[in-house]
Amino acid sequence: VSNNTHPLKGLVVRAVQQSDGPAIAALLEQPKAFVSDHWGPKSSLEEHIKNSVLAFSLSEGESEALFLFVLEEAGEVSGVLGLSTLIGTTQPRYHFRAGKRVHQSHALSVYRDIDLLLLGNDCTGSTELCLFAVGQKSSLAVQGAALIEGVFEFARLNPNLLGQRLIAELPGLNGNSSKSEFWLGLGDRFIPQELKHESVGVLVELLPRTPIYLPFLSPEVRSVIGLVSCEQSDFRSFLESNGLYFQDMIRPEDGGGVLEVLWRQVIPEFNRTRNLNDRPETNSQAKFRFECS
Amino acid sequence: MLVRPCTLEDIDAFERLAFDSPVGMTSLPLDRRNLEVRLRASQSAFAKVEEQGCGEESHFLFAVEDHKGNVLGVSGLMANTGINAPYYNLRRDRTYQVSSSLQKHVAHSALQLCGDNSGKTLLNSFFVDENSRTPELMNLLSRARILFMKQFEDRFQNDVIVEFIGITDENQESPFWNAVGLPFFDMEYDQAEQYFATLSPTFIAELMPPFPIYENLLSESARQVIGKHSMDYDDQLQIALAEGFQYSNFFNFFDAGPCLSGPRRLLKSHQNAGEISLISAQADYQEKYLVSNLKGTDFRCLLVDGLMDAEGALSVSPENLEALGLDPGDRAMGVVL
Repeated sequence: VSNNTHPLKGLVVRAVQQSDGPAIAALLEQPKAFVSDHWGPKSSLEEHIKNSVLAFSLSEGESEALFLFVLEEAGEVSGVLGLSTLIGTTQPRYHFRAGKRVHQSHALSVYRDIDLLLLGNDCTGSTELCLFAVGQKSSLAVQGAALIEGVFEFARLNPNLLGQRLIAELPGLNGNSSKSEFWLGLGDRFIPQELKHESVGVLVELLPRTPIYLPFLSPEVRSVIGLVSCEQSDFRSFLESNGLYFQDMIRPEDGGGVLEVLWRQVIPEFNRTRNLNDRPETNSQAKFRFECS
Repeated sequence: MLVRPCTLEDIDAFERLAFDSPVGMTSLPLDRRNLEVRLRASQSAFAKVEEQGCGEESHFLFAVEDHKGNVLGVSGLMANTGINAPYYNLRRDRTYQVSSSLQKHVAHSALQLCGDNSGKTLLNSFFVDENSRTPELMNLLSRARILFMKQFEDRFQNDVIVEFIGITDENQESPFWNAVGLPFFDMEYDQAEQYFATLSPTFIAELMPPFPIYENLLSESARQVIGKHSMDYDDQLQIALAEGFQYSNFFNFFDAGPCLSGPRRLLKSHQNAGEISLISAQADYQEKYLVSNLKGTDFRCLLVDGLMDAEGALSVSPENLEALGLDPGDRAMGVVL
């Protein structure tokens, strides 16, 4: 493929502007738009954009911030991608981590490996891909890839803003609702009747913090761990083709898998120099603009 | 009826009782050689009880026999648990999880494998022929151990525990084991009990889950039997409750049967028992007494009709005095039934 005919040529990824509101709202209406549970209600889009514009101009990176990127194609906005940074540093974020214990008895010739789930806050300080949508006439392979390329360029320029790791929480089967087999078979067992009306995301705080033995869970629950709802299966493949992968983290709300990658695994020169407590040295990125070539 | 220390000659009777006892009675395994080892250890414990200090495991086994010398039942008393092998229980813990967003807290109940009952005195190995389970015999066989402890007080711990067999269904399966043990041990309940009775119990530590077992995650059938005893042991449990034992937060790790505990000096038989002198006399006996001599290897405990005089001397029949191996005027330990 010669440079002249490269499919990404002419696509621009740039920092969001307040005027992008209607275009983004339209993109989020797409049936396959990905919106993280932690994004908040739809009505807050304007607020999010305002915060993001501010985040780009301050670029301090000391607390949770939202960076929204849009894809421009011949002057039209045809894609949006959101990064939440430093997640879990003001409000704890919970995930199960899948582990294993081997129990062996020589005397009885028994060897069992037992799967466990341990509730923790392992994503604290990571960056979450919290929003992603491309327009009806766009494709993940072209417009989606352009967005990712632009965002990776942003990451390369701003390692100090983004933590070590990029994650994306994908909804599980019958995601995040009282219909989720995973929630009903695990989390829900620990919730007293009078609290069952509360939202699942909040109820996670009440789950035990020592390992849960999977053999105590029903086969139905065990079989949905790490599965992703059908609506997001294309998106999952897309993320995987861009280097994110499911390792061992699971959404407590519905058993959905968390895809993750260390920035330095996808951006070789990503060099994060700052500890969480250091002063940031990043310049304003309000004019961030990346032209695909 | 008479209670005395078991000897090696009891092996046939012992084996028969072991055969009839439930699989959860792991101190009576179906293994003649193992039973012999236990009888020898018991004989040695009785022989040394008069000189030996507190600290050894000292597993005493008592037999109850009828007037013809037929052994009708057996009971055991272990001075110290956790000496020769780890002593495991499940302990029920309650922990709170607090939600700051909701301003609510919830309590989670979990079972945790533990050795908390290590170093206590244990009543165990209780089994009586099905046709001989009269209240008098059950009381005699059970409480004789407490008179024995009172007599050799410094050999025993202040805390005494007693475990009861848990619930099994009509197929001899334990719902608790099927929910909790099976996934970790990969073997049926009776097989696991048999291993426990005959092998070193370190395999418990190797295979049992070391983290809390949240009761909320267990099946209803498993949760229902936690802390419930087999009705075959109801008589014995009622005796223990009357004695002053209380339910605790501890359960057997195979079948979740209850573990009762009590401070030794507050047990009724201990508190009410006292040293008395015996008189051999036919009298208008007023009450039934448990009476034991003050011996180790020749320990005897009887249920007798007696009459207590104002000076604290107890009149009993010459036959009973002889059965105790005592002469008129000898001291003994006695308590009203």
